[in-house]
Amino acid sequence: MMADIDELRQRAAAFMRQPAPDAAALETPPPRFTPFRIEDSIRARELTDRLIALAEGEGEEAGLQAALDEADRAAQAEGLDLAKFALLAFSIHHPRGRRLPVESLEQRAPEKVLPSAGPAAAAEDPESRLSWYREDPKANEHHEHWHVVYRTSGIPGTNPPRAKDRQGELFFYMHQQMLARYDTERIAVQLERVKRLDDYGVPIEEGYDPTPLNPVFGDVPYSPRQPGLTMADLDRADFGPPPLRYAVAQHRTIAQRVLDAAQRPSLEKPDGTTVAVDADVLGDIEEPSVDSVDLRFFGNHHGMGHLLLACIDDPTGATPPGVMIDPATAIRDPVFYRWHKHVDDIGSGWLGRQAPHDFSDGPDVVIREGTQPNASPDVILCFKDAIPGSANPGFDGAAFGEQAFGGANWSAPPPDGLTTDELQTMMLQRAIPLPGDSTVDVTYLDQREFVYFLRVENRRPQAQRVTVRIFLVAHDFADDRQMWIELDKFQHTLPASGRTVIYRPAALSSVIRKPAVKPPGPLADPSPDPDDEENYCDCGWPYNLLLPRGTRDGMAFRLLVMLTDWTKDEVPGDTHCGSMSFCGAKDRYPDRRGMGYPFDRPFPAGRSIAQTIAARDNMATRDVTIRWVDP
Amino acid sequence: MTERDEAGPTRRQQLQARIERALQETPHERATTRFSPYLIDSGPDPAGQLMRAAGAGGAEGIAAALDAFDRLAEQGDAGRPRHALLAFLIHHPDVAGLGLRIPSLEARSPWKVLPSEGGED
Repeated sequence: MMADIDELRQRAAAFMRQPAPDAAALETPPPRFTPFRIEDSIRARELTDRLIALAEGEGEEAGLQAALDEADRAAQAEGLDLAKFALLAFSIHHPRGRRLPVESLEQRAPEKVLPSAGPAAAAEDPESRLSWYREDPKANEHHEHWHVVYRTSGIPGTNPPRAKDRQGELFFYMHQQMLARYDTERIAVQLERVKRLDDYGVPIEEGYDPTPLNPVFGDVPYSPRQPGLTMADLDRADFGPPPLRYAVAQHRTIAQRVLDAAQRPSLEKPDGTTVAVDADVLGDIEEPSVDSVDLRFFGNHHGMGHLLLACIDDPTGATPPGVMIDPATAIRDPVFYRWHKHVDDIGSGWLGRQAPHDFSDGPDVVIREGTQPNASPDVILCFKDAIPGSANPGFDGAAFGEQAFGGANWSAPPPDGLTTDELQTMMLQRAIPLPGDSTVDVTYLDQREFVYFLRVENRRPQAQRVTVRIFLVAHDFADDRQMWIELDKFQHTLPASGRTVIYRPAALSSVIRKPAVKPPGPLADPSPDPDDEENYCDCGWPYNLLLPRGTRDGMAFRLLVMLTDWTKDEVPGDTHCGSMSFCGAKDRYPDRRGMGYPFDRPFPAGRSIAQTIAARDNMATRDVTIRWVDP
Repeated sequence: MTERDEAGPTRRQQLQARIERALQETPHERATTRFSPYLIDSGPDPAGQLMRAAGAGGAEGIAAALDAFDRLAEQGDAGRPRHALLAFLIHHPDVAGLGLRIPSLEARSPWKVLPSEGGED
């Protein structure tokens, strides 16, 4: 008897909802199916082809009935998982198949979309408290993208191949900033700071399982990294020919070579010429890039660390490596940060031995420190939605700032409700579309939009162009220069002998990808301006992760604003594409200072960071709280 | 008239569609590729090949580069050519000028950004 379309749809839905039979209860259990095994994917495709042929062979309902009969048969003979996969493919891709709508995953297999066990899971694996951070899609995309903008093999098409300007230094700096942010998030959830992975013979306590919450695609092709494993010699035939053979002892050797290089004033190239050692040269050696002083001698310390850790579960086999193999997924694994803290030691160690900065070259400006420490009246924060008229297209923030905080109000307390000493973050959810019209929810951090108003007095009778640098640090780590997080860097021209209120939306931050769009906003078209750095529009830290999350009770932070002499920095105007701080520009890194200045090098001896800042008129700090609130 | 205007919307859409198809990496492809950007490769740079293929410039150049990508990908492991294509699209001066974009990671390979089982809000 011929079923009508509604009956066929119900039958298809019931088929897809069938639970897998208990293999132990079957006399002859079918082989385990996974679409990631070539043989299995071929069998599934062959079944899909049969379903299509049956569906097309007769009238529409008769064809679909024949296809479903075949699916039932295949489930018995070849396994339910294979049959489901093939029917899903048929339903998604074939016009007749699409008359059998695919229910959402949570309807088909609700057990697969349950959230993690929550606090219990965190108790078992404390690292899971920051899975949301490490697994943020935009953060992973930033990391992947950065490594393509700054390739180890150099700028495509260059002959001989060459790396981008200051690539080695930026390799260290970009990752150091990721570490500062991650350490800050760890502190907020009562975890210790990242422990460096510098002893290759010690078991790595924490593991990482990338198995997704919603295995719509079946198992993900990255093997879990079990806890308690130790780096082991690689002998992987599947990476060849020739096989990838690399010994841990060899890795120790090149690690020592790189560390030794960081102790020297200069290095000799194979051609006999010498090069002075600096952070850029060391970064080129460590990453490495094509600009490495001697690739054969110094090897690939950073990269092979990724390989050793990616293959730690199966160093001599052929199972898929872990997420550390791929820049698009590596930062998901807690061991990424442990590895990069070790890598960072090379660059930061060298920088830490350099002469302290001489801050006497600052511009002749004043940004007031205030009567109380770390309470500068000239560093003002406002929520954008608290500023009257800010939502209007023609809103002039600079004019508003002058009216509210300048002129006669220069030293007056701000109006009630306009300013804030507390920034707010929230955890939101969004759906990521998957093939077949299904979606999966991801949780991501976001912040309430805020702006800076900075009051600056120019003491000179001429206009001065300055670079404004803004950093943030967790209060308890204000004396650790490696914990300071860059938030922004931009140029500004101060009128002669004047007091100015600088208006700066956080959305213009030099560290984030721009145009600043929060997920899931659509990407803007790249600029058609041929002089624009539009090629690097997609490069930069995600805007939604600009601020650390903070805590529910409010976490104490310190904000630094520093003005430097633009004639010494030559920081260009804002790019409306990409991140100036992390992605540079086409030709020259857009700041002549060291990356991370002023925190790249030690502060003057005998004084804390706070004392140094307090003694300088061109620097000021303000304590702020970051509170994680409900949406 | 900009490059974008000369190319025309249909041509751009065709190129964008090709880019999106080319950059999609399936879980199976990831499981079977042994390419990693972390491994130093001393062989010819496929990104350089794509740059040379695009020598005509403009939309025709981009199309020629995509043809070259297709030929490389057909040889087996598409991991390396795909990474080279990413590099080409980022570094070639005509790509953004034509309004062509690299799709987001979650659009190219949504399975790479799925939350793990151990996550906690």
